[in-house]
Amino acid sequence: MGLTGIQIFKLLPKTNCGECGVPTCLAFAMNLASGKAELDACPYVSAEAKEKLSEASAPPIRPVSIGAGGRAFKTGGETVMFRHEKTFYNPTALGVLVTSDTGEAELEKKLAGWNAFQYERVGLNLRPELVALKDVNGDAGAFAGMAKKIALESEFGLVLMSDNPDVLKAGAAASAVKRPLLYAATSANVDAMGALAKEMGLPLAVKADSIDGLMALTTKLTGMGLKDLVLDPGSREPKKVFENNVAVRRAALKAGNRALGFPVITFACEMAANLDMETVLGAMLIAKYAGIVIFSDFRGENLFPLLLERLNIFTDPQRPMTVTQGIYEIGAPNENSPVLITTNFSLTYFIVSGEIEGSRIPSWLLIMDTEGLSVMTAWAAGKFSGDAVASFIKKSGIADKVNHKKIIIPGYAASISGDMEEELPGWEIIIGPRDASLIPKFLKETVK
Amino acid sequence: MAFQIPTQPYSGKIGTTTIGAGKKAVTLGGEETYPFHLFEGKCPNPPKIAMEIWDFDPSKEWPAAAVEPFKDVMASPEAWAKKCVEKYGADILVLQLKSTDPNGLDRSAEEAAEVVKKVADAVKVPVVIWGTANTQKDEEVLKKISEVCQGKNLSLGPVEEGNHKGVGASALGYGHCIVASSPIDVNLAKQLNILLGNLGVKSDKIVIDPTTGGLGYGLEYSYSVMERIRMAGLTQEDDKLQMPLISNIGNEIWKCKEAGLPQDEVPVLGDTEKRAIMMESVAAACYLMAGSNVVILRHPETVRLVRSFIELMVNGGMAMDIAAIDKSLPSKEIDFASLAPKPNLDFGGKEAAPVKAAPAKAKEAPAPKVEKKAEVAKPAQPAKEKAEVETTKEDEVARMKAEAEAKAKADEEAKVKAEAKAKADAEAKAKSEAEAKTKAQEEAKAKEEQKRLAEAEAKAREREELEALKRKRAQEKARAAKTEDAGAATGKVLELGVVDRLELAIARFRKHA
Repeated sequence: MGLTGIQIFKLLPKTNCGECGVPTCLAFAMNLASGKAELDACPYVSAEAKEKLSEASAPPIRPVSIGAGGRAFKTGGETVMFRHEKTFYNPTALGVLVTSDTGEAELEKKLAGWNAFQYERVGLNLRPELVALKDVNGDAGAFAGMAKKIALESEFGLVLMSDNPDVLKAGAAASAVKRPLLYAATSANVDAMGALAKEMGLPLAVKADSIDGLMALTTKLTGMGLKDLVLDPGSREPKKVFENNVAVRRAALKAGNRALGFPVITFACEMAANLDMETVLGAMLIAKYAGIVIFSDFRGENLFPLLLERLNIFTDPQRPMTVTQGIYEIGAPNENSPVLITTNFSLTYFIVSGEIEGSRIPSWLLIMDTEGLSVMTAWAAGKFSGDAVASFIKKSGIADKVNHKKIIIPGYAASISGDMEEELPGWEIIIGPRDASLIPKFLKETVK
Repeated sequence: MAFQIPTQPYSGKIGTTTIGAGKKAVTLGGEETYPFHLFEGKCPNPPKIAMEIWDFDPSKEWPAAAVEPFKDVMASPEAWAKKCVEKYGADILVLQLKSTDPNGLDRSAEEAAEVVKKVADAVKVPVVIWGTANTQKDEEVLKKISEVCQGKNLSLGPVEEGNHKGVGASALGYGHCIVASSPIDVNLAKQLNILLGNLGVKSDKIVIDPTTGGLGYGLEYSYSVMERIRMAGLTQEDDKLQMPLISNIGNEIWKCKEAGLPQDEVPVLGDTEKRAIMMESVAAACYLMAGSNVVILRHPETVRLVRSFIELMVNGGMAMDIAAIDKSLPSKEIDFASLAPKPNLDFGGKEAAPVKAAPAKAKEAPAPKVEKKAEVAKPAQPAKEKAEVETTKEDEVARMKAEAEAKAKADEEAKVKAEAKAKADAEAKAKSEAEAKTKAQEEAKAKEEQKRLAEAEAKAREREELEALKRKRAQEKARAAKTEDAGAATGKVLELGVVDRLELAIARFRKHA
């Protein structure tokens, strides 16, 4: 980023040859500026211009890849301060701290237990990504052994934490398959850490106790040819951490500060004395610009709320969340169970299915594709009309699953029942409640 | 040169609203920066914590964890109110008038007013009265309360477009504040404030309720609408959006399935009591970051954690001496390792697999069964988006500025047009189009309406609704002229449920894409 169409134009050959597909160099420059064209489309651009342009067109915050396999993730790559301005792209990665003096059996037990924390929601698997292994005794052999275990015997990615480049090197060599993040280069060890990260081709975290300090270090490291950096601005005081996160994001996006154009790692585990307060701070960090947050432990009651928040905050505001059209079993319905139908807006689905579940009456829930519209808007837009609903019911195959012909429709769509009766001879159309919260009561009364 | 945080220019300031009366009155708002951005401006009145109580004993409805701290007082709203203030230090008390719900206990306005009076006399902190979002019933109830509690400077809500005249006039007459409630939409929030202003309600008597979504149940919509409201107030000098914000969080969190699910049923969700408190705390932290001036909470431990959070964010300092949640229900040890699926140790390709569920794991993960088949359908359009990421910075800024200006202008125009249209009438040529569109559905609606409102009041009400419809339609049309997406919102807005409100929000987000 950083260059306007005019600035780009100055670097182009200005021959208006048209070989790039647009008639003039200026038009091409404008397309480049807005991301609609690739520089490679111009056959005559000079090497010097190419370098300048590719540098300028790099994302303002470097996306950094960490991990391998199902839990691999990217952090950084963000382009806005507020999610409504476009969207946030790469969800904050969540990690857990383990120290290098942990016994082998205990580590195994922890890793297995942490693997239990996976939650299905709208077809996504919500789960954390990272284990941060912290060297506490300088024992490179033990550190490497644990890094290897985490890398090869669990799905988690790693943050390897040590001040000692030799310890880190042993750990990195043992877990390279997982593309671990090395933590951290400081003013005391920056040369060795930089060399290590470069040699291993791994991402490197940079820690300083001020933003000025960070900039000096990242400038030096990028000078050494490193690209994948992660920032730790040092403070563990919630107010200051928030300020730093805003400062770094704003500097990268609004001031084009390349030295700060990297994701930020934060340590909730060093900001509070227990997991509950860490969780509250974690909520702030997910909303406000942390690329990675490390906690002292993973527990369902703490992790689940944070994963929900992350799902919400990183949902693309430009697209409604929907669920797939089809028949959903709630409880263990049989051929006598009631059949309900609603639309495929994910929140409609959540609320309706939640209420049915709460009623403890096993049911069939038909979800019809209304392009993510809720009942009333779908009905008003003609996407939940009697004809459409009837034809969906016929095609759904629900008739083969139950031995009755009764269907409960949402109260807000009451007026389609007449058309449905015409289209579905022999079916009884029952008008359900308008408000989902009345479904349990309704089902209990209807099913008797 | 030493690093300096790039400045965010602020051209506006959030106004203040003082709620309650006497020594314990609370002043909200007044901030000159985005939430907690204290390094670049002042925030003279840090966010406050309100605790909610209900006007009848909900111990059978609430999850056990929420009942436990209050079980000795839930039968008496006054005693309950006192406990919130005296024991848990609530800055503000919110009385949820759940018993007035026509679909529930349907208690009368007189009964409600009696309870409110007792509660308002029992505590000195400001009292916020929260109805059931049934516009008609709320109007009746809130008007009565307003009369009976003259001079207490209560906050009456939720006041919606449908009942703003009645409740607004009453609050004006008897000296109360208004909680102006709109369905997760910046423009509708603004419009309601304009309408209240036209009625004579001053900005410093209004608190905005942008409608609060639950964690995992639409939080993101409320969150972003609040950020946009703050942006409009602070950087676009939109004085109709410069009021304090209130978030009804506890009510949303504790009613969702996951807040009450026993751990035995889904062990990986963790301890039931702590989970619900954490969900409430996480949601509160989010809403505070989005600009909430009052967070309405239910559990005392949430209150303690969130209060600590606000203090730390305002005053600084380390969080090391904040204690963990103090459980009052027994906990269970669970061997999670035995519940965990076997890890998938195929790291072969360096390609990051998307966050899709790996099938093997999905089967074993003891997540709610019904959700397994659900899939996120993502309408195709990523190419365009990718492209936009590359936009140069200046262009981005210029574009945003242009957009903001265009929007401000559009808003202004929409407002003027809407008002003009509502007064003038039928002959507008374009109108016939909109009418054709909505005719079919109006007929269906009219049919229903007839059935429901055949009784005495029908006439008066219908007239009112028609007026509102007209205004809405005109306004929609004005918007449609500016944007391609005329949106699903027609006159139906008046009776939208929460999900439909969210739906509207999505329509708006799309426009801004």
